[in-house]
Amino acid sequence: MNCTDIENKLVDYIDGVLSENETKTINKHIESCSSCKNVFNETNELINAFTNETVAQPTSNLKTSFEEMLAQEKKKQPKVIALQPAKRNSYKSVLQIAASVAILFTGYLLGGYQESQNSQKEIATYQTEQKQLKENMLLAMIDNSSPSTRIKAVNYTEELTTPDTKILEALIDRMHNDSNSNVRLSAAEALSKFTDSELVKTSLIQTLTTEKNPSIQVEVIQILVQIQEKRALDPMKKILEQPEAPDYLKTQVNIGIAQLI
Amino acid sequence: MQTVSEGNLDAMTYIFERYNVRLYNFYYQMVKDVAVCEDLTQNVFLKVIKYKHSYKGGKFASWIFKIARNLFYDHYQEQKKTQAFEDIDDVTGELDEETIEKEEEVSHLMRVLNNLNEKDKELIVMNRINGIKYEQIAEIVGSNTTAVKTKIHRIVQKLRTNYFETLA
Repeated sequence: MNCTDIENKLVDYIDGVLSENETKTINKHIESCSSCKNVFNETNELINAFTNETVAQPTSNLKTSFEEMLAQEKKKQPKVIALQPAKRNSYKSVLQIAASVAILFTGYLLGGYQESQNSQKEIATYQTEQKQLKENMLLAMIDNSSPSTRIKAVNYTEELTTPDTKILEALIDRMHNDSNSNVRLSAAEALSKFTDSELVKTSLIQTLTTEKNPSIQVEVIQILVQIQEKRALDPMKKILEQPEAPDYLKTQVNIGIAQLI
Repeated sequence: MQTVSEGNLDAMTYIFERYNVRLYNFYYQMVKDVAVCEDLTQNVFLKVIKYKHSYKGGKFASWIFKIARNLFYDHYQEQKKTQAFEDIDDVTGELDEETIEKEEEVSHLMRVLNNLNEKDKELIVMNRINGIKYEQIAEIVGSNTTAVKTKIHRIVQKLRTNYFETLA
Protein backbone atom coordinates (compact mmCIF):
# COMPACT_ATOMS: atom_id res chain seq x y z
CA MET A 1 0.00 0.00 0.00
CA ASN A 2 1.37 3.34 -1.01
CA CYS A 3 0.53 6.68 0.57
CA THR A 4 -2.42 7.40 -1.80
CA ASP A 5 -4.00 4.04 -0.98
CA ILE A 6 -3.58 4.78 2.70
CA GLU A 7 -5.13 8.22 2.31
CA ASN A 8 -8.14 6.72 0.53
CA LYS A 9 -8.67 4.24 3.35
CA LEU A 10 -8.29 6.68 6.21
CA VAL A 11 -11.98 7.40 6.67
CA ASP A 12 -12.82 3.71 6.89
CA TYR A 13 -9.83 3.27 9.16
CA ILE A 14 -11.14 5.93 11.53
CA ASP A 15 -14.64 4.52 11.27
CA GLY A 16 -13.15 1.17 12.24
CA VAL A 17 -14.77 -0.76 9.42
CA LEU A 18 -11.61 -2.21 7.87
CA SER A 19 -10.45 -5.81 8.20
CA GLU A 20 -7.89 -6.69 10.86
CA ASN A 21 -5.14 -7.07 8.25
CA GLU A 22 -5.79 -3.70 6.62
CA THR A 23 -5.95 -1.99 10.02
CA LYS A 24 -2.59 -3.50 10.95
CA THR A 25 -1.02 -2.39 7.64
CA ILE A 26 -2.23 1.17 8.09
CA ASN A 27 -1.13 1.20 11.72
CA LYS A 28 2.38 0.25 10.64
CA HIS A 29 2.45 2.71 7.76
CA ILE A 30 1.33 5.67 9.87
CA GLU A 31 4.03 4.92 12.39
CA SER A 32 6.70 5.07 9.73
CA CYS A 33 5.36 7.75 7.34
CA SER A 34 5.19 11.23 8.81
CA SER A 35 3.16 12.82 6.01
CA CYS A 36 0.51 10.09 6.27
CA LYS A 37 0.50 10.44 10.03
CA ASN A 38 -0.21 14.14 9.56
CA VAL A 39 -3.07 13.41 7.13
CA PHE A 40 -4.46 10.86 9.55
CA ASN A 41 -4.36 13.29 12.45
CA GLU A 42 -6.08 16.00 10.43
CA THR A 43 -8.73 13.65 9.08
CA ASN A 44 -9.36 12.28 12.52
CA GLU A 45 -9.79 15.80 13.89
CA LEU A 46 -12.17 16.70 11.08
CA ILE A 47 -14.27 13.61 11.61
CA ASN A 48 -14.34 14.22 15.32
CA ALA A 49 -15.43 17.78 14.60
CA PHE A 50 -18.45 16.32 12.81
CA THR A 51 -19.28 14.06 15.72
CA ASN A 52 -18.86 16.93 18.14
CA GLU A 53 -21.13 19.14 16.10
CA THR A 54 -24.03 19.60 18.46
CA VAL A 55 -27.28 18.12 17.38
CA ALA A 56 -29.55 21.04 16.62
CA GLN A 57 -32.85 20.79 18.40
CA PRO A 58 -35.90 22.14 16.64
CA THR A 59 -37.99 24.51 18.72
CA SER A 60 -41.33 23.47 20.14
CA ASN A 61 -42.89 25.34 17.21
CA LEU A 62 -42.18 22.35 15.02
CA LYS A 63 -44.08 19.92 17.20
CA THR A 64 -46.97 22.31 17.69
CA SER A 65 -47.34 23.01 14.00
CA PHE A 66 -46.98 19.31 13.24
CA GLU A 67 -49.79 18.51 15.64
CA GLU A 68 -51.94 21.21 14.10
CA MET A 69 -51.23 19.88 10.64
CA LEU A 70 -51.99 16.32 11.72
CA ALA A 71 -55.29 17.39 13.24
CA GLN A 72 -56.20 19.15 10.01
CA GLU A 73 -55.22 16.15 7.93
CA LYS A 74 -57.33 13.95 10.14
CA LYS A 75 -60.30 16.22 9.49
CA LYS A 76 -59.64 16.00 5.79
CA GLN A 77 -59.29 12.26 5.94
CA PRO A 78 -62.99 11.34 5.95
CA LYS A 79 -63.27 13.32 2.73
CA VAL A 80 -60.52 11.25 1.22
CA ILE A 81 -62.03 8.03 2.50
CA ALA A 82 -65.37 9.24 1.19
CA LEU A 83 -64.58 7.02 -1.75
CA GLN A 84 -65.34 3.96 0.33
CA PRO A 85 -68.94 4.89 1.13
CA ALA A 86 -69.18 5.87 -2.49
CA LYS A 87 -68.10 2.35 -3.32
CA ARG A 88 -70.83 1.03 -1.12
CA ASN A 89 -73.15 3.45 -2.85
CA SER A 90 -72.22 2.07 -6.21
CA TYR A 91 -73.03 -1.38 -4.85
CA LYS A 92 -76.29 0.08 -3.64
CA SER A 93 -76.96 1.71 -6.96
CA VAL A 94 -76.44 -1.63 -8.67
CA LEU A 95 -79.19 -2.94 -6.42
CA GLN A 96 -81.25 0.11 -7.22
CA ILE A 97 -80.79 -0.41 -10.91
CA ALA A 98 -81.64 -4.08 -10.49
CA ALA A 99 -84.74 -3.11 -8.53
CA SER A 100 -85.83 -0.59 -11.14
CA VAL A 101 -85.27 -3.11 -13.88
CA ALA A 102 -87.32 -5.60 -11.90
CA ILE A 103 -90.08 -3.02 -11.43
CA LEU A 104 -90.00 -2.15 -15.10
CA PHE A 105 -90.17 -5.80 -16.02
CA THR A 106 -93.04 -6.51 -13.64
CA GLY A 107 -94.75 -3.44 -15.03
CA TYR A 108 -94.24 -4.74 -18.51
CA LEU A 109 -95.57 -8.19 -17.59
CA LEU A 110 -98.53 -6.75 -15.69
CA GLY A 111 -99.29 -4.40 -18.53
CA GLY A 112 -98.97 -7.22 -21.01
CA TYR A 113 -101.20 -9.44 -18.89
CA GLN A 114 -103.81 -6.73 -18.46
CA GLU A 115 -103.57 -5.88 -22.11
CA SER A 116 -104.09 -9.50 -23.09
CA GLN A 117 -107.01 -9.73 -20.68
CA ASN A 118 -108.47 -6.59 -22.15
CA SER A 119 -107.97 -7.80 -25.65
CA GLN A 120 -109.37 -11.17 -24.70
CA LYS A 121 -112.43 -9.39 -23.38
CA GLU A 122 -112.59 -7.35 -26.52
CA ILE A 123 -112.16 -10.40 -28.66
CA ALA A 124 -114.87 -12.11 -26.64
CA THR A 125 -117.25 -9.20 -27.19
CA TYR A 126 -116.34 -9.11 -30.84
CA GLN A 127 -116.94 -12.82 -31.04
CA THR A 128 -120.32 -12.59 -29.35
CA GLU A 129 -121.17 -9.61 -31.49
CA GLN A 130 -120.11 -11.47 -34.57
CA LYS A 131 -122.11 -14.51 -33.47
CA GLN A 132 -125.12 -12.30 -32.87
CA LEU A 133 -124.65 -10.76 -36.28
CA LYS A 134 -124.28 -14.15 -37.93
CA GLU A 135 -127.36 -15.46 -36.17
CA ASN A 136 -129.37 -12.42 -37.15
CA MET A 137 -128.14 -12.81 -40.68
CA LEU A 138 -129.04 -16.51 -40.63
CA LEU A 139 -132.50 -15.84 -39.29
CA ALA A 140 -132.99 -13.27 -42.04
CA MET A 141 -131.64 -15.60 -44.73
CA ILE A 142 -133.71 -18.53 -43.52
CA ASP A 143 -136.89 -16.60 -44.30
CA ASN A 144 -135.61 -15.71 -47.77
CA SER A 145 -137.85 -16.52 -50.71
CA SER A 146 -135.07 -18.26 -52.63
CA PRO A 147 -134.68 -21.96 -51.62
CA SER A 148 -130.96 -21.90 -52.42
CA THR A 149 -130.41 -18.99 -50.02
CA ARG A 150 -132.43 -20.86 -47.39
CA ILE A 151 -130.22 -23.95 -47.88
CA LYS A 152 -127.13 -21.77 -47.58
CA ALA A 153 -128.46 -20.32 -44.34
CA VAL A 154 -129.22 -23.78 -43.00
CA ASN A 155 -125.72 -24.96 -43.92
CA TYR A 156 -124.23 -21.94 -42.15
CA THR A 157 -125.83 -23.04 -38.89
CA GLU A 158 -123.55 -26.08 -38.91
CA GLU A 159 -120.66 -23.73 -38.25
CA LEU A 160 -122.25 -22.66 -34.99
CA THR A 161 -121.11 -24.72 -32.04
CA THR A 162 -123.83 -23.58 -29.65
CA PRO A 163 -126.71 -22.03 -31.53
CA ASP A 164 -129.39 -20.46 -29.38
CA THR A 165 -132.97 -21.64 -29.33
CA LYS A 166 -134.01 -18.99 -31.85
CA ILE A 167 -131.79 -20.59 -34.49
CA LEU A 168 -132.88 -24.11 -33.49
CA GLU A 169 -136.53 -23.09 -33.70
CA ALA A 170 -135.92 -21.52 -37.09
CA LEU A 171 -134.23 -24.73 -38.30
CA ILE A 172 -137.00 -26.91 -36.93
CA ASP A 173 -139.51 -24.64 -38.62
CA ARG A 174 -137.65 -25.09 -41.92
CA MET A 175 -137.52 -28.89 -41.42
CA HIS A 176 -141.24 -29.07 -40.77
CA ASN A 177 -142.70 -26.39 -42.95
CA ASP A 178 -140.44 -25.48 -45.84
CA SER A 179 -142.06 -25.96 -49.18
CA ASN A 180 -138.78 -27.09 -50.72
CA SER A 181 -137.79 -30.66 -49.84
CA ASN A 182 -134.10 -29.86 -50.27
CA VAL A 183 -134.32 -27.15 -47.65
CA ARG A 184 -136.16 -29.56 -45.31
CA LEU A 185 -133.42 -32.18 -45.87
CA SER A 186 -130.62 -29.68 -45.20
CA ALA A 187 -132.41 -28.49 -42.06
CA ALA A 188 -132.68 -32.08 -40.83
CA GLU A 189 -128.98 -32.66 -41.54
CA ALA A 190 -128.10 -29.44 -39.73
CA LEU A 191 -130.21 -30.41 -36.73
CA SER A 192 -128.45 -33.80 -36.51
CA LYS A 193 -125.48 -31.85 -35.04
CA PHE A 194 -127.56 -30.52 -32.17
CA THR A 195 -129.27 -33.69 -30.97
CA ASP A 196 -128.25 -32.93 -27.38
CA SER A 197 -131.18 -30.55 -27.26
CA GLU A 198 -134.45 -32.15 -26.19
CA LEU A 199 -136.28 -29.71 -28.43
CA VAL A 200 -134.40 -31.03 -31.46
CA LYS A 201 -135.07 -34.67 -30.48
CA THR A 202 -138.84 -34.23 -30.16
CA SER A 203 -138.99 -32.24 -33.36
CA LEU A 204 -137.14 -35.00 -35.20
CA ILE A 205 -139.52 -37.63 -33.85
CA GLN A 206 -142.42 -35.43 -34.90
CA THR A 207 -140.96 -35.16 -38.41
CA LEU A 208 -141.29 -38.94 -38.83
CA THR A 209 -145.09 -38.66 -38.60
CA THR A 210 -145.52 -35.46 -40.58
CA GLU A 211 -142.90 -35.79 -43.32
CA LYS A 212 -144.04 -37.47 -46.51
CA ASN A 213 -140.80 -37.24 -48.51
CA PRO A 214 -139.06 -40.65 -48.22
CA SER A 215 -135.49 -39.31 -48.59
CA ILE A 216 -136.02 -36.92 -45.68
CA GLN A 217 -137.66 -39.72 -43.72
CA VAL A 218 -134.62 -41.96 -44.32
CA GLU A 219 -132.31 -39.16 -43.17
CA VAL A 220 -134.30 -38.52 -40.00
CA ILE A 221 -134.48 -42.26 -39.20
CA GLN A 222 -130.70 -42.51 -39.53
CA ILE A 223 -130.21 -39.56 -37.18
CA LEU A 224 -132.60 -40.96 -34.58
CA VAL A 225 -131.07 -44.44 -34.74
CA GLN A 226 -127.62 -42.94 -34.27
CA ILE A 227 -128.67 -41.19 -31.07
CA GLN A 228 -130.59 -44.37 -29.99
CA GLU A 229 -133.85 -42.51 -29.57
CA LYS A 230 -136.37 -45.24 -28.48
CA ARG A 231 -139.30 -42.85 -28.75
CA ALA A 232 -138.81 -43.02 -32.54
CA LEU A 233 -139.91 -46.65 -32.57
CA ASP A 234 -143.68 -45.99 -32.65
CA PRO A 235 -143.65 -43.46 -35.51
CA MET A 236 -141.27 -45.78 -37.39
CA LYS A 237 -143.61 -48.76 -37.03
CA LYS A 238 -146.41 -46.53 -38.33
CA ILE A 239 -144.37 -45.85 -41.50
CA LEU A 240 -144.23 -49.61 -42.06
CA GLU A 241 -148.02 -49.71 -41.95
CA GLN A 242 -148.33 -46.96 -44.58
CA PRO A 243 -149.12 -48.60 -47.96
CA GLU A 244 -147.70 -45.73 -49.99
CA ALA A 245 -144.29 -45.93 -48.36
CA PRO A 246 -141.64 -47.09 -50.86
CA ASP A 247 -139.77 -50.34 -50.25
CA TYR A 248 -136.36 -48.79 -49.69
CA LEU A 249 -137.87 -46.63 -46.94
CA LYS A 250 -139.41 -49.69 -45.29
CA THR A 251 -136.07 -51.52 -45.50
CA GLN A 252 -134.36 -48.53 -43.85
CA VAL A 253 -137.07 -48.47 -41.14
CA ASN A 254 -136.59 -52.18 -40.45
CA ILE A 255 -132.81 -51.79 -40.17
CA GLY A 256 -133.37 -48.84 -37.84
CA ILE A 257 -135.83 -50.71 -35.67
CA ALA A 258 -133.42 -53.61 -35.43
CA GLN A 259 -130.67 -51.26 -34.28
CA LEU A 260 -132.88 -49.49 -31.80
CA ILE A 261 -134.15 -52.69 -30.16
CA MET B 1 -45.48 3.57 7.85
CA GLN B 2 -47.51 0.65 6.57
CA THR B 3 -50.23 1.62 9.03
CA VAL B 4 -50.10 5.25 7.89
CA SER B 5 -50.48 4.32 4.26
CA GLU B 6 -53.46 2.23 5.33
CA GLY B 7 -54.99 5.45 6.59
CA ASN B 8 -54.04 5.46 10.27
CA LEU B 9 -52.81 9.00 10.81
CA ASP B 10 -52.12 8.39 14.51
CA ALA B 11 -49.10 6.39 13.46
CA MET B 12 -47.79 9.65 11.97
CA THR B 13 -47.02 10.87 15.50
CA TYR B 14 -44.66 7.95 15.93
CA ILE B 15 -42.95 8.74 12.62
CA PHE B 16 -42.68 12.37 13.63
CA GLU B 17 -41.03 11.51 16.95
CA ARG B 18 -38.59 9.26 15.20
CA TYR B 19 -37.52 11.50 12.36
CA ASN B 20 -38.18 15.14 13.21
CA VAL B 21 -34.79 15.82 14.86
CA ARG B 22 -32.90 13.96 12.14
CA LEU B 23 -34.66 15.82 9.34
CA TYR B 24 -34.37 19.11 11.15
CA ASN B 25 -30.64 18.60 11.55
CA PHE B 26 -30.24 17.70 7.93
CA TYR B 27 -31.92 20.96 6.98
CA TYR B 28 -30.13 22.87 9.69
CA GLN B 29 -26.75 21.96 8.25
CA MET B 30 -27.93 22.86 4.78
CA VAL B 31 -29.77 26.08 5.62
CA LYS B 32 -28.83 27.94 8.75
CA ASP B 33 -32.27 29.34 9.35
CA VAL B 34 -34.36 27.94 12.16
CA ALA B 35 -37.69 29.10 10.71
CA VAL B 36 -36.93 27.78 7.23
CA CYS B 37 -35.69 24.47 8.65
CA GLU B 38 -38.79 24.04 10.74
CA ASP B 39 -40.95 24.86 7.75
CA LEU B 40 -39.13 22.37 5.59
CA THR B 41 -39.26 19.65 8.24
CA GLN B 42 -42.95 20.29 8.70
CA ASN B 43 -43.48 20.02 4.95
CA VAL B 44 -41.76 16.65 4.89
CA PHE B 45 -44.39 15.24 7.24
CA LEU B 46 -47.15 16.87 5.24
CA LYS B 47 -45.80 15.24 2.09
CA VAL B 48 -45.53 11.90 3.88
CA ILE B 49 -49.25 12.09 4.63
CA LYS B 50 -50.08 13.34 1.17
CA TYR B 51 -48.10 10.65 -0.62
CA LYS B 52 -48.71 7.89 1.88
CA HIS B 53 -50.24 5.73 -0.82
CA SER B 54 -47.14 5.93 -3.00
CA TYR B 55 -44.99 4.35 -0.28
CA LYS B 56 -44.42 0.86 -1.63
CA GLY B 57 -42.53 -0.75 1.22
CA GLY B 58 -38.74 -0.69 1.34
CA LYS B 59 -36.62 1.28 3.75
CA PHE B 60 -38.73 4.02 5.18
CA ALA B 61 -35.77 6.22 6.20
CA SER B 62 -34.64 6.33 2.56
CA TRP B 63 -38.09 7.24 1.41
CA ILE B 64 -38.54 10.04 3.90
CA PHE B 65 -35.07 11.42 3.13
CA LYS B 66 -35.86 11.36 -0.58
CA ILE B 67 -38.85 13.56 0.15
CA ALA B 68 -36.72 15.78 2.40
CA ARG B 69 -34.11 16.14 -0.29
CA ASN B 70 -36.62 17.04 -3.00
CA LEU B 71 -38.14 19.65 -0.73
CA PHE B 72 -34.71 21.06 -0.02
CA TYR B 73 -33.94 21.40 -3.73
CA ASP B 74 -37.28 23.07 -4.37
CA HIS B 75 -36.47 25.50 -1.60
CA TYR B 76 -32.92 25.98 -2.89
CA GLN B 77 -34.10 26.78 -6.45
CA GLU B 78 -36.59 29.33 -5.14
CA GLN B 79 -33.95 30.83 -2.92
CA LYS B 80 -31.62 31.23 -5.87
CA LYS B 81 -34.27 33.11 -7.86
CA THR B 82 -35.02 35.56 -5.07
CA GLN B 83 -31.36 35.86 -4.05
CA ALA B 84 -30.58 38.28 -6.88
CA PHE B 85 -33.10 40.80 -5.56
CA GLU B 86 -32.17 40.31 -1.93
CA ASP B 87 -28.51 40.95 -2.61
CA ILE B 88 -29.31 44.47 -3.73
CA ASP B 89 -31.32 45.12 -0.58
CA ASP B 90 -28.58 43.73 1.60
CA VAL B 91 -26.16 46.55 0.86
CA THR B 92 -26.80 48.25 4.18
CA GLY B 93 -24.27 48.42 7.04
CA GLU B 94 -26.77 47.29 9.59
CA LEU B 95 -27.49 44.00 7.88
CA ASP B 96 -23.80 43.34 7.33
CA GLU B 97 -23.11 43.55 11.02
CA GLU B 98 -25.84 41.07 11.74
CA THR B 99 -24.41 38.67 9.24
CA ILE B 100 -20.98 38.88 10.85
CA GLU B 101 -22.42 38.29 14.27
CA LYS B 102 -24.23 35.19 12.98
CA GLU B 103 -21.07 33.94 11.33
CA GLU B 104 -19.24 33.96 14.64
CA GLU B 105 -21.80 31.71 16.23
CA VAL B 106 -21.24 29.15 13.53
CA SER B 107 -18.40 26.67 14.05
CA HIS B 108 -15.32 26.56 11.90
CA LEU B 109 -16.44 23.22 10.49
CA MET B 110 -19.70 24.77 9.35
CA ARG B 111 -17.94 27.59 7.60
CA VAL B 112 -15.82 25.09 5.69
CA LEU B 113 -18.91 23.04 4.89
CA ASN B 114 -20.65 26.08 3.47
CA ASN B 115 -17.91 26.43 0.92
CA LEU B 116 -18.83 23.08 -0.60
CA ASN B 117 -21.34 22.86 -3.40
CA GLU B 118 -24.86 21.76 -2.44
CA LYS B 119 -24.46 18.20 -3.70
CA ASP B 120 -21.24 17.54 -1.79
CA LYS B 121 -22.53 19.27 1.30
CA GLU B 122 -25.68 17.18 1.22
CA LEU B 123 -23.71 13.95 0.99
CA ILE B 124 -21.33 14.79 3.80
CA VAL B 125 -24.15 16.07 6.03
CA MET B 126 -26.19 12.93 5.51
CA ASN B 127 -23.21 10.67 6.13
CA ARG B 128 -21.27 12.39 8.89
CA ILE B 129 -23.90 14.41 10.74
CA ASN B 130 -27.08 12.40 10.18
CA GLY B 131 -25.08 9.18 10.35
CA ILE B 132 -26.77 7.60 7.34
CA LYS B 133 -24.91 4.59 5.93
CA TYR B 134 -23.43 4.62 2.44
CA GLU B 135 -25.92 2.07 1.06
CA GLN B 136 -28.83 4.10 2.26
CA ILE B 137 -27.46 7.34 0.86
CA ALA B 138 -27.01 5.52 -2.45
CA GLU B 139 -30.69 4.58 -2.26
CA ILE B 140 -31.73 8.16 -1.44
CA VAL B 141 -29.73 9.88 -4.16
CA GLY B 142 -30.21 7.09 -6.69
CA SER B 143 -26.62 5.90 -7.03
CA ASN B 144 -24.61 2.81 -6.01
CA THR B 145 -22.87 2.27 -2.70
CA THR B 146 -19.29 2.22 -4.02
CA ALA B 147 -19.71 5.48 -5.92
CA VAL B 148 -21.22 7.18 -2.88
CA LYS B 149 -18.47 5.90 -0.61
CA THR B 150 -15.68 7.03 -2.93
CA LYS B 151 -17.32 10.40 -3.36
CA ILE B 152 -17.69 10.95 0.37
CA HIS B 153 -14.11 9.98 1.01
CA ARG B 154 -12.97 12.51 -1.59
CA ILE B 155 -15.11 15.19 0.00
CA VAL B 156 -13.55 14.41 3.37
CA GLN B 157 -10.08 14.89 1.87
CA LYS B 158 -11.14 18.16 0.27
CA LEU B 159 -12.67 19.35 3.52
CA ARG B 160 -9.59 18.41 5.47
CA THR B 161 -7.41 20.61 3.25
CA ASN B 162 -9.82 23.53 3.53
CA TYR B 163 -10.39 23.03 7.22
CA PHE B 164 -6.72 23.21 8.17
CA GLU B 165 -5.77 25.85 5.64
CA THR B 166 -8.37 28.29 6.97
CA LEU B 167 -7.84 27.38 10.60
CA ALA B 168 -4.56 29.24 10.90
